[in-house]
Amino acid sequence: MEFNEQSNLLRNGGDRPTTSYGGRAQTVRDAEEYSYDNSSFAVDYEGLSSSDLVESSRSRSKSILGERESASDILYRLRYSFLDPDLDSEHVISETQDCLTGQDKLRFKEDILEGIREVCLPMKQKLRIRRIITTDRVNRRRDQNSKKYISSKSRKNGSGFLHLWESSITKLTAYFGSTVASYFTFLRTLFFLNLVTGIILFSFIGVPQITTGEFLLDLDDKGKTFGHFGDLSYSMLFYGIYQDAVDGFSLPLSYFLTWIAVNLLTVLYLASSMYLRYRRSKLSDTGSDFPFTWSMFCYFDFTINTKAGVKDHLKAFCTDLKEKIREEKSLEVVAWLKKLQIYFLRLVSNVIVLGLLGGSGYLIYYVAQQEPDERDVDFNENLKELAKEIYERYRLAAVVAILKLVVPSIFKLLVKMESYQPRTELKFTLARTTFFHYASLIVFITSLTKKADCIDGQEPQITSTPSSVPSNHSTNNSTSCATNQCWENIVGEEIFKLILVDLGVCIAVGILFDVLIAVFVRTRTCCCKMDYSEFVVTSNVLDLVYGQGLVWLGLYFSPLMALVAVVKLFIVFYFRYFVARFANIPPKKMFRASRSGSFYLFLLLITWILCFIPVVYILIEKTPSVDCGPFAKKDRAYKVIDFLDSLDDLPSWLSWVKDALDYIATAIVIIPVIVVLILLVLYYRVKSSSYNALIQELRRQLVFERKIERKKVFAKALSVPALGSLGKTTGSAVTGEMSRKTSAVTFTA
Amino acid sequence: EFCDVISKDNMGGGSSIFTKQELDDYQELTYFTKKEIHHVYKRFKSLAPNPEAVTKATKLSRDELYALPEIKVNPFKDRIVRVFSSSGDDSMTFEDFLDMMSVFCDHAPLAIKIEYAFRIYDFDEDDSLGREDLRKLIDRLTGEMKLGESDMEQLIQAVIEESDLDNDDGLSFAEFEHKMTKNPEFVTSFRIRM
Repeated sequence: MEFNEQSNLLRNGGDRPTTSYGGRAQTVRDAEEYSYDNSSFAVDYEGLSSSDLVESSRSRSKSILGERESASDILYRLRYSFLDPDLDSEHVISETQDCLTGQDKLRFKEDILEGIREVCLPMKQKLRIRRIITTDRVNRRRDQNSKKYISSKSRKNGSGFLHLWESSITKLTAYFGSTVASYFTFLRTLFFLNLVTGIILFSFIGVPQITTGEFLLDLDDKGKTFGHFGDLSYSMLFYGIYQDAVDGFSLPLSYFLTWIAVNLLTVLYLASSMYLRYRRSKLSDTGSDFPFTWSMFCYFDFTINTKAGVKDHLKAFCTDLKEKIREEKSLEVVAWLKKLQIYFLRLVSNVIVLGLLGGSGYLIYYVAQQEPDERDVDFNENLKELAKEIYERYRLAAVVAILKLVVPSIFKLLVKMESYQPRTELKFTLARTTFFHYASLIVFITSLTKKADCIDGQEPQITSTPSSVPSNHSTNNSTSCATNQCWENIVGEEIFKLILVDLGVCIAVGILFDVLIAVFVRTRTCCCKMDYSEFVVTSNVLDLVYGQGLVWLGLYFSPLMALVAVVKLFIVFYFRYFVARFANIPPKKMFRASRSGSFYLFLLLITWILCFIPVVYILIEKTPSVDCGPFAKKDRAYKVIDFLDSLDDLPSWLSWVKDALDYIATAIVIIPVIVVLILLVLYYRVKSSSYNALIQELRRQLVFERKIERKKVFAKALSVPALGSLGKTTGSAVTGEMSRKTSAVTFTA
Repeated sequence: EFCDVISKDNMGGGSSIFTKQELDDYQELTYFTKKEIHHVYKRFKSLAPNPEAVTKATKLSRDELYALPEIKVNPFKDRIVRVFSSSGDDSMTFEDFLDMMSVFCDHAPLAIKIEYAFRIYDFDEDDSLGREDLRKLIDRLTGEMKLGESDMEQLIQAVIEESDLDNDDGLSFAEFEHKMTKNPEFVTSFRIRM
């Protein structure tokens, strides 16, 4: 390691290699290695001028090693050159350069050039060093290198499209800081994800359908009147219209495979970005966060550059610090009666939470089972009738949306009753709200697909009004229920309705709460002390994730749902942007529960899993509807992949492939595979926990080693009589030198 | 030393104040692309009292630098200017300015940000973040609402306990670096966008 030469400064000519840390504890006790010869000490610090010291060190190190310094040595010395003001870096470099020839020289130059950017030197000095290096380079090498650099830079330039809305986000960052900006960046990621999904689905499913010329379903021949959106129901937006009518292109196969492909792409993208982000942040050992250090050094946001923004940020900062200090203090003993009270309250609130979850689940299920009154909306009727009709149609979506609004607020109130620490409060509320969202999504989708059971010959749905429910015109006379209802379309429409209502509620809440309050505050209408509402990052992010979950649920039933999501995200972005600019203030509590982007991606991944599974279940269990959609004649949707049949046509020498596939699909193979995977997971967990233990051990060793070494150095330094008169300055010079150099030892350990 | 040579990069016409050699050098010594370097130069020019007479050798004084919107309201602006000023007197040439913006930009790696952050936070420039440094830092960070004395003491004590591994009552660079590399938010916070 390169610090060899440096730490040799303080040893008396020992040219033993320094031991690296992490293993041999006995080196600590090996006194000889750490002996500081008094005489050399006195020589070193006699003149007390650092140039002398460095001169002697330089010559000493060179003579010790008997070889010239390598590029990394030089870079190391440059890095600490502020300790050594007389270091003539150019001289050193040109000297070393002249000593080398050929390949060595080239490598030396490359190393210096690559490393010089990372060294903390003033630009002038860096330029001078660079001039020295590049003056007599071989041309071929130079072109090669410059190409390498230029190509890496131009890559950055080409990403203009991916930086959509960048200027708006920068304007927001100037006032709100990075946390709020991360919400908008997340929105942008979702926007692009949906855009890519939508384009893929459209080109593989929509375009072939367009070539058949059928944009709208032909109503006349069968007289069906399903759908709530009039003409939109029968358009390409929903499942119903796609048929196996394209020549030479199997639309059902394409429909199924594209849907699977898009899902796989999504999960690949999410997993790989999470992986990359995780790698970039070195994981701290479990349970050793450094809240105070980090608060002091990491959390101040340099990106805020408006006066009001900085003021708010500092205020939030101060509150956060005070809270943390209080937390430390409040680990005091509480009287057991009070403890009992707290536990009782916590029990009560947990029961209430469970009750709320169960209640809302049942409510959604119940409303979904109600058969809606399917009359056409006739705008000529009087308002009351109109409202009733709209209510009938949007009943389910309204219930889900209102529950989504009300229940998390109740959770927030409940958690205050439980008297937790503020950060635990936040985590609890977050967990409960997320769980509620997922539960409502799953209940929603499963209760909707109960409608599909009608086809399987189970009991028919009971219609609530004897209105123009489409009577059974089809030739399928095995059941008496309304098989003509294209159930995939219905599910798709419900999801679409929910997305619209969600958007509407979001905008309405935004206007009601944020904008109105801002107007009140501005015009000082209300006499009570009101402040602008905060931009709450958590609930907004959860909203986005929920919306994306809805889109993924609906992708099978409505291929162009992703494009709908694109439009919705566009609207949401600008709405939130303008509300944030004119009516919001930065959050008063610093939201640090997330490890920036990877937490959001993690939420998204969980949502994807939770939305993929129900749809897969539906595909496996339910029969596609008989007379609409691409899988109309099939028993199950996935049977469209019939390559297993086509395998019968394989030549005989490949017949083992078919046999192998047959075997693989049985339980005999799958169960051992699952067991092996579980074992692998366990193995990696054990490995990582043992690494954690090793890290702890190393830290302890580090601390111990530092203590021992310092004691020795101090003892030697302060006992040397020649330095007695120079007392204090010597001491600080010693410790000053020691602090950088020996900390450099720990640094490279 | 500089001359009005039309640079050969694809900036789309117009004369440039940098030679191709200089632009290449800057590009390889900072984390900027050529376009960004020109943008930084424009910002530098706009800070000067007499933009037309700005050359590469112009030095901006401290007050002129403080007028830059990105650091005007920053509580650490004096430290930033001091650390990046190569002549040590709080005045910066264009190259210092470029260096500063390059360290704060999005593409700078963690290591160099940590190095400069340490220097910025080291108020007394003794290569270690001692108690006085921490005290001044907390003062800057809390702005108008000051922390009480006991709270301050407790905070400083907590930080020292957490991070000081060798018990010298202060954070050395190695300890500072050790803590900062573990926090992924450092990179996003220690940024100034031009």
